[in-house]
Amino acid sequence: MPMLDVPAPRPIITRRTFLKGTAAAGVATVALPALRSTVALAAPGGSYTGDVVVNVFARGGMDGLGAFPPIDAAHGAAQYKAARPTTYVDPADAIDLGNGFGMHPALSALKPLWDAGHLAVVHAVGYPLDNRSHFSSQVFIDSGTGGTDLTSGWIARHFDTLADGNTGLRGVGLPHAEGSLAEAPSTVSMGDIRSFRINGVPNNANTAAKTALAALYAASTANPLLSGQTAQLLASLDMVTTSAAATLAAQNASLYPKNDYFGYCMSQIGGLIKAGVGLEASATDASYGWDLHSNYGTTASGNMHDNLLGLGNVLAAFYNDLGPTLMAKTTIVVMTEFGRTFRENSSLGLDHGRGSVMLVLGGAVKGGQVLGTWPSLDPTTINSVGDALPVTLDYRYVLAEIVEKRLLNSNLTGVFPDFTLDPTKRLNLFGP
Amino acid sequence: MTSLLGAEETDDVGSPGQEPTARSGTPDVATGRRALLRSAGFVGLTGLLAACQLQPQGSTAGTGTPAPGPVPPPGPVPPPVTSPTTTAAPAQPPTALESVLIDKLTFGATPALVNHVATIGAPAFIDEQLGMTPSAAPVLSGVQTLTLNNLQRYQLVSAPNGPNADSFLPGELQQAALVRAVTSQAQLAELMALFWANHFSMYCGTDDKGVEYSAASDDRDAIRPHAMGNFSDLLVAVAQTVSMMSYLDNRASRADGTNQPNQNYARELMELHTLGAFQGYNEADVQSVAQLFSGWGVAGDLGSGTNTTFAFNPNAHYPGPITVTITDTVTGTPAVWSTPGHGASEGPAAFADGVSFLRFLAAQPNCARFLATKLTTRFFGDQPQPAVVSAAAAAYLANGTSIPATLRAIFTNPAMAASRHSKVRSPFELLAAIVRTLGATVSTTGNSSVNTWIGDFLGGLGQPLWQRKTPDGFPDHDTFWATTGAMLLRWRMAGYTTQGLATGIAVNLAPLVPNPLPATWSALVGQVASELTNVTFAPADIATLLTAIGQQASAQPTQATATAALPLLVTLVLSSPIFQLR
Repeated sequence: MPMLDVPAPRPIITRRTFLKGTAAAGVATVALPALRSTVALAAPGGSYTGDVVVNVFARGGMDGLGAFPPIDAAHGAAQYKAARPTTYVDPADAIDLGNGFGMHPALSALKPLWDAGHLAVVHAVGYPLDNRSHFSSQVFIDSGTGGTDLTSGWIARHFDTLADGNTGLRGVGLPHAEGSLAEAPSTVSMGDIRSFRINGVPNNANTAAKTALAALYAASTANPLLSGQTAQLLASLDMVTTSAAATLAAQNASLYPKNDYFGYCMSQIGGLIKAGVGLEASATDASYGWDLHSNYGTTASGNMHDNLLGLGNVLAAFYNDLGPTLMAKTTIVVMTEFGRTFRENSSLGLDHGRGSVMLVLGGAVKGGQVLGTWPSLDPTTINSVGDALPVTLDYRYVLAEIVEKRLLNSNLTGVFPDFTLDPTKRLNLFGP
Repeated sequence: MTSLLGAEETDDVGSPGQEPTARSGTPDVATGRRALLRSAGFVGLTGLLAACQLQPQGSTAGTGTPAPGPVPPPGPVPPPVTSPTTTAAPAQPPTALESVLIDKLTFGATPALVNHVATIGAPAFIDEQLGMTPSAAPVLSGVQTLTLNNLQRYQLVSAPNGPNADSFLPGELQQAALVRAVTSQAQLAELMALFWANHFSMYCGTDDKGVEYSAASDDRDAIRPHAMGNFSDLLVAVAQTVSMMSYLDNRASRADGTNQPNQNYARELMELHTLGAFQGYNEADVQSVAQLFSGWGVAGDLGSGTNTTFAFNPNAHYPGPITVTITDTVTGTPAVWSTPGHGASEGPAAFADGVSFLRFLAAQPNCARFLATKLTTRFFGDQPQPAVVSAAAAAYLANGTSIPATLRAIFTNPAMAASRHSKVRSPFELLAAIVRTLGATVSTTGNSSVNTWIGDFLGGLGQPLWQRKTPDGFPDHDTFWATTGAMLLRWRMAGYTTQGLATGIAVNLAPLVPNPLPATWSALVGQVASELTNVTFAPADIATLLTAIGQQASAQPTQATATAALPLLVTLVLSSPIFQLR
């Protein structure tokens, strides 16, 4: 049997064990054999001094109302409780955030970030139109539009409109390509760091294979997408010294929850940031089961509880993994395509709704506050938007401030072409 | 067990062990298999059609589940399966259209298939494939969860030391799908079986919905029998499955009294299964349809020892009048479906309302266009083909939602001949095409090691069949599959498979060495490449491959040097751009 270009055997979290949730080994420290490739890290260079943005999409429709419930009468706690007999969060169980809002207790890992002012919650925010199709609304949000069909992601258009001379790897979708990075230059997708290399070639002829494949794909006119993606891939392979980045990714592996695939992905992104490959943006999914049409669970246990526990623990782990210096130049934004119905259904679950929350985390965030315009939760309001928390603010108010203040790109119309920003609605997430 | 991701993975079933010995290579006729494509020309097949296990139209499909009882002993080992092989009189090479149809209507060319199609011609091949249905015969030996009922499956994996449900149950489906893709003569029927399984995509993994216990039954009894039938029948059959009612949360949906029905199935029925998002309906219609399907659910409880079956509960059904309006998006004409409502005492009539509505949906022009678009994309590629879609939709409506009639309109469109290589192969299609063109065999032993490996392979490539968590199915667009990260994994899969490192996939490369040996390396490389891909490689690409294997164009290969070069050469050809396309 030919010798393969693979590291020594060790347990690794597979997608299956994540899903199963069994007691498989945690992400082990990687001890790679001597690196076959001697390509040095490509210094990112360029003039970019902005943040790394980590775009976290909670696909499936995360129930923002349950994650950050109202806990006083003025904010509609009584109506909320009446609508959700088994799934509401009682004020006594919530973590008091002040000003009438609570945080689901399963998110307790985020409390230190909240207290440090590094977490902001934007409520009743979302896609501006009533689109309760997962797939359709996700596409629009990833492309940063309000219903216009664009094939490019909003981060891609940011890259296109900010020529910063960065010769490193600007964007990474992990564990797979992400819509927000669609058509982005200097961007790749990868399952994880260690898989980002040519591997499995007979006779260990990786270099010969790479050369041959580069030539075959460059010469081919059969499918421009294939050829273009391959060219981008091969150029990027040289930018990531796999062993160094993987070692950095595994450095603080113990911070992340075990058997948590989102946690694994965030640890990989953390590794790429720490490795200094030139990253300006990364995009990933908070891949928990948010689409809880049935069996939402209670405050103390069940599906929603477990989802939030994972989300909070992973975000806190990443925050601690990077540390204050790197977090001062990192901004995480968490979003979802829509919230859920105001009222429980007969399956003890919630169907598709409208407004939800977005979270913004980072060293530069002026956090410790729930932002946005809170609507009344009286039946007239709720019924007027089809049994849901209304959307009182377009999701792009959050993204636009990140693009402007942290990605240092003032060309907001280039990034969000069908969005008109009303200055009076600015959130001032990063100060005035 | 080496994994696709470059590190060894633990098999949480238990000790990975060594998989049972897969059949080591093909029988003696293997050396004659490549003889079919010698430079003298293609050879036809007189004996092939007799050897083929062609399934006549209308053959018996799966006939339902066995009675509950003890787990049956393993069935007889199915006969050895290989790609069809024979030698016969020479025939001409395939025409452009014939090569297109080989790529589009099957999981990939084999020498025997190429000869077969070149012999009978395109129209006959289309007729042949449209006339076949997915086989009901089991393809796996061993435990064969695919032949069990839901309760038996549940008891099997729940027993002490039973196989792991999370990997074993979808794993057997995946293994069977690969075996069928590689060996079945009814290639188009198997393509369509997978197409519809993806269209009605359900997550067969462990969560609180339990679809892993019923997915194989419902694939066998609801999807496969109708995959080449009428879409209306398929839709009605799938709606009445434990899997669909569980997966889309309809099984406990009640609309009696003050209960709010569950909207999930109602929404996705229209958005994903029939019409497309917002195509002629609104949120009020979603709520109406949710009321209509209240009471459609499941009887039985696996944990208590009773088999689960679809059941309608009249007491949970919305008794009031229901009206749904679907507006034709082209003409603007509204089509109204309504019922005065039927209460708990009118169970059969209440249930019949739901079936009636499903057939109403299937007959909508919006549905015809939605399905015609998906099928045209499947077979033509991602570039819009409005004329093809229009013809396919018209055929669908004129033929009572017949799937073969719709497909015929697509396959016989004049633009088909020029559409070769217009679509990126999905990971599963790529794996099947690699196995087929290598003449490799897939283990037919239903075994956790084997099917775990196949499942992890597909999962690593982003296409874990029956394990997509969302009901939209894997998007059938090149941009979904042709990502930078995916390219690495596709090349890796070619390398692993070629070298026999894919658990359960046995490869013998010896027959791929041209016999007799060409006089030059250049000719050898060209011949190997064209035999693997059914494409003539350009001189520049041949030169690239020669450089990779370290040989000079005009130098003479020997049996030993040719054999030594083959793994790398084959890996690169199977990784090449043209092989990624169909």
